[in-house]
Amino acid sequence: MARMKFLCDADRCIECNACVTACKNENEVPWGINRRRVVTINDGKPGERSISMACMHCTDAPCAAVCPVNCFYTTADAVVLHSKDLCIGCGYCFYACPFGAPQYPKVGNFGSRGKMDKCTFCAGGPEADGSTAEYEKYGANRLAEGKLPLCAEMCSTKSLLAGDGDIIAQIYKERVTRRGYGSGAWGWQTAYRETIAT
Amino acid sequence: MARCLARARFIIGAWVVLLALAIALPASAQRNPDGSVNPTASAVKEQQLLDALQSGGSISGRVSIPDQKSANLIHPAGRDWRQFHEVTLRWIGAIAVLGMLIILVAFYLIRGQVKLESGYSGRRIVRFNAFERFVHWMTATCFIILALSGLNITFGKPLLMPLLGEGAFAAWAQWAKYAHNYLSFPFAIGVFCVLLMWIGGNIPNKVDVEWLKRGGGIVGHDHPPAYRFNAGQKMIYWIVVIGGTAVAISGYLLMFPFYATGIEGMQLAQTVHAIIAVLFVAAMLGHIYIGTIGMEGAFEAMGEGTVDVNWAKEHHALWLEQEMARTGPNESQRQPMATPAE
Amino acid sequence: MKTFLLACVAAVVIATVAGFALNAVQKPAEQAYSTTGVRL
Repeated sequence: MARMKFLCDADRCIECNACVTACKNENEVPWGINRRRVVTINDGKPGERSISMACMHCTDAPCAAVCPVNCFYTTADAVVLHSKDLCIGCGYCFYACPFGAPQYPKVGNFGSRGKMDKCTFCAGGPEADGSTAEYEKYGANRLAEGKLPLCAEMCSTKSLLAGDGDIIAQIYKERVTRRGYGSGAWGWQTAYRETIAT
Repeated sequence: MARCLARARFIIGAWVVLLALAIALPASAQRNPDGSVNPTASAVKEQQLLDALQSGGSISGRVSIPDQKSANLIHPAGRDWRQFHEVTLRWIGAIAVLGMLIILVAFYLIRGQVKLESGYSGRRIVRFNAFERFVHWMTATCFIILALSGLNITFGKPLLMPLLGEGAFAAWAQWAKYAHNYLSFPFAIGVFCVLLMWIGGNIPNKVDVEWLKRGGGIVGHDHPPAYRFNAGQKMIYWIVVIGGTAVAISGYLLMFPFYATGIEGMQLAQTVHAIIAVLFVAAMLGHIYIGTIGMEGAFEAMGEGTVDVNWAKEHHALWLEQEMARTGPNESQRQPMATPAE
Repeated sequence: MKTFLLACVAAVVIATVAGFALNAVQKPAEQAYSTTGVRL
C-alpha cells in the first residue's frame, strides 16, 4: 500500500509559486486561506533556499491528536484528512502543527474560527469521491481519479515531489547522488520521523 | 505589532540558519581549492537547523503572502504542547477534580455536616445584600457552564464522545464552545465585582491564623471566632480573584489568537488557562460542598440573604458583634423568617 | 430566588451583547489577509 508523502527539494525550488497557484485554482481556495506557501530562508544572502510547504500528512499527526472532536482521520494511503462537519473551529490543530498547515476563515476566535481548511493531498474529504458536496468543502479529489496532487504536477523545476514515500525518496536520492549535493528532505524528520540518507 | 514580531522572528530565523552554517562549516570549506563555490557546503541539512533550534523557536523565512504566520516553516514545539494537552493535562485534571470529589465524599462520611449546635433561634440577620447575591449568582452560574464546557474540550473526547457518537458530540462541543466564549464576559465582570465588593473583608489577619490553628470548626467541633469572612472563605476569595483573572487573561489571549503573541505565546496561554481552570474547578467543588450540604444554615446566606443569629454566633461571632454594635443593641434588623429578603 | 433568576438573565444578556459586538468586529480571513491589489 502506498504511503503518500511530500518532498520539496530546497536546492531546486526557485520560488516561482506555481504550486501555490495550482493549489488555489484546482481547489478554489478562498482568499486569505493558504493551503500551500513558499518560504524563502536567507532571502538575498548566500545559502538562500526556498521551500514549498503545506500539510506534510505526518505519521502520528499532532493535529489529529489534539482535536477535541476527533474530526481528523487517516486514509489507507496515509493521507491526513478531516471532516468540516465535525470541526468546531477551536484552533488547537494550528497550535500543535509543526508546519502551520491548518487555515481558518476567521481571524478572531469568538465562538469559532470557522471550519478549518488545509491541504488534502488533493484527496478530498469524507463525502463521496468526486461529488459536488466534496468539491465545495474540500476541493478536488485527484487521488480518487488516480492522479497526484496538482502542486507537484505543476512544479516548474520538479522540486516538489508528491507520491509514495519510497518512490520519491528514491528519486531524491538519485538526484543528490547525480549532482553531488542536497540539503536532505526538509520536514521529514519532524513529520515522518525519518531522513533520507544521502 | 504582529508585523514587528514577524520581522523579528524572520531575523532570528535567518540568523539561526547563518549561525548553523557558520558553526557547522568553517568558512574555508565553502570554497573549493581552485576558488569555485562548493554548493554542498552551503546546503543546510534539516538536522542542523533542528539542532540549532533546540527548545522552542522556529525556522522561518520570507513569504509573499500577507499572513505572516506562514513565514514559520517548521516549529517543533507544537509536539511538546501536544504531549501536554493530550497526556499531562488529563492527568492533572483527573487527579485534581476526582481527588477533590473523593476527599469531599470521605469528609462528609467521616466528619458529617457541620451542625448548628445551639439550634435555630428564629432571629435573623442580613448577611449578604441583594447586589452581592446577584453578583455571586451571576458569577457562579457562569462558572458552572464555563467549567463544564471547558472540561469538555479536554475530557469530552475520551469520556463523552463514545456515548454520544461523533456527530452529536461535535454539535454539543460546538455549542459548548460558543457558550464558553460568550459567557466569559459576564463571568469576568462578576469576578471584577467580587474583587471590589469584598476586598475589604478578605485581607488576612491574626484572627485567621487563630481560626486555622483551631481547625476552622470543620476539623473537630470548635467554634473559633471570625469576622465576616473566615480564613477558609478568604482563601476562596483569593482563589476566585487571582484564578479568575488568570483564566480571563489567558482566555482572552486564546479568543484573540496572535493579536498579542506568537505561537509559543498561544501554546503557553492555553497551558496556563487549562491548568488554572482545572485547579479552579477542584477548589470550587470544595466551596460548593461547604456552602450547601457541608454546613447547616450556610446556604441561606447566599440563597436569600439572611442567616440565623445563632449561626452567626457560632461561626462568625466577631462579625455578629460588629453588626449588633452598628445597628444598636435592640437588633433592629431582626427579620422574622416569614419575610425573605429579595 | 428572584436575585438568582435576575443573575441568570443578566449573564445571558451580557453574553448575547458580547456576541453581537464581537461578531461585528470579527474579520474574515479574506479581509484580514488581503492587500490593496486584491479585488474582493
